[in-house]
Amino acid sequence: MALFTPHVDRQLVHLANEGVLPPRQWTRVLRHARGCARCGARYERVMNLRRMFARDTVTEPTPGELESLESRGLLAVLAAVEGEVSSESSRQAARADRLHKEYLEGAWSPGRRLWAWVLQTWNAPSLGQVGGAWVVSLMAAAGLLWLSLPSDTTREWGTRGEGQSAPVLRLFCVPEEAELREVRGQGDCPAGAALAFAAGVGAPYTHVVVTVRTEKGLRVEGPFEVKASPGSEAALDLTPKLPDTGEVELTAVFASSASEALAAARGEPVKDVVRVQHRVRIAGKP
Amino acid sequence: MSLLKEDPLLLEAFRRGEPGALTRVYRAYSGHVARFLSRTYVSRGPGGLARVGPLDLEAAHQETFVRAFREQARHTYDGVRPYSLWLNALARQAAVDVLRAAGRIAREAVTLDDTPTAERLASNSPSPEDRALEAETRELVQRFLSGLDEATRRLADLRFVQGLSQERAGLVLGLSRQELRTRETKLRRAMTDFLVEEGWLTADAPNALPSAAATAAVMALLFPHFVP
Repeated sequence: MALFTPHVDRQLVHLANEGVLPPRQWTRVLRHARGCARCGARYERVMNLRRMFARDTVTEPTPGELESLESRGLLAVLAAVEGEVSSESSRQAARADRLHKEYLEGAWSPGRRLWAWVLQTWNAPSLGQVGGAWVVSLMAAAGLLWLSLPSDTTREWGTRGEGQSAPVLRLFCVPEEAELREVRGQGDCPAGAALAFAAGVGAPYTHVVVTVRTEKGLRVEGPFEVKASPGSEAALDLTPKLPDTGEVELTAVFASSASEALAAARGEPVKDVVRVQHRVRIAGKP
Repeated sequence: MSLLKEDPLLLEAFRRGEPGALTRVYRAYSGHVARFLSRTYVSRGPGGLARVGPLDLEAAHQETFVRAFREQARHTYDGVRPYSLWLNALARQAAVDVLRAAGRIAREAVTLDDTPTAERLASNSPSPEDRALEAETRELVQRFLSGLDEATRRLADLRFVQGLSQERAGLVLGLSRQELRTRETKLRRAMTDFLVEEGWLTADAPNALPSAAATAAVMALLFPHFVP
């Protein structure tokens, strides 16, 4: 049997019983379910059941759904609109689309998969009931697994040299059925692939915000805290999917706090920020 | 309700894109858009009329407001017509795009607004698929409730159907908070078991302990020389 499942069955049971989930968990469940036919169908059935309980029809959202939409959606919408206002090139380009915000489960880097796996385990409700020893065992096992990752994988996120203080952002192309590779300057990446990021910072920079501009609009991602020791890099929790055609322009804004990074990414005047730009053409075979 | 129509100052702030005004408008119309998206057939899918299901509701909802809050859209709204109708039109188009992107309708699908009137009229009543879905779900709910004793059924009604808080449900049933919690735990467990039996969920309950195999695997990983 699999030790841990990537699916969201536990959360669906909770959803069936409670009708709601904590906001971040609900977001994660939806993100997974929209990319997973098995869990997507189950999510629909569970929510239809709750709708039937609450409204006696499947075509009316439950009070929990309405409340969740109101609280969770507002920040995303405002961020998208502010991103539009701060865009410099054209007004038409400002479409902060949710359509491309589906994360490729299969395109995650091994490090991120492991981190998500550990997080999922930590969030599991059963942990509270099985005692601290089980938690410690899991965390230790995760640590051992981390150390046992193949060396060529760790090199992808490895040190770029000592004494480097300027922030760096490396960009990787992650095709669905091919190996991850670094994109330098104005590189190519096939349609349908995902992008992955590794960032390194030195004092005073601690946070980064990434704006992703496609022909369909602009999206602001982050802020992310860069938890890498000086001279090394850390993967960002961000894997945007590439559109079918065109070009993607990526701008990373490094700052000394999350709010400053976000403000600078929105185009507000902020001192001491560093911007790194990449441009990726959609080209080549998947 | 027409918030923007009745408040010129708010309308001006909204047109300028002030976050406070956008927030007020979002909060005022969030429920309306969610309900509209859930109950309205927006296009014809492979299996008939298509509407936004629970899985796509959040995406379509956000896409609607992102479009509505664009600078051009903010200035195009005249402040005279009801804003809810303006949002409905945007929501319908956003829903089609979301359903299309998710592969639930064909890429060539168009909104029902762009189809002949006769077809639009047919969309006012629930589609056969939705009738079947409702009938199946309703029957499941009734079967679950009928398997409960009278007191538990009453508790399920107060908590699941009427959505009362534990405190208020306890007052209605004459139970202390602790008694109600205990009964509710049993009710939830019964519901989980029922859904698992019906094949709606897996048996992987949230409170399940790790299996012996899983524990052994972790022990072996931690202590390679450990022999139980």
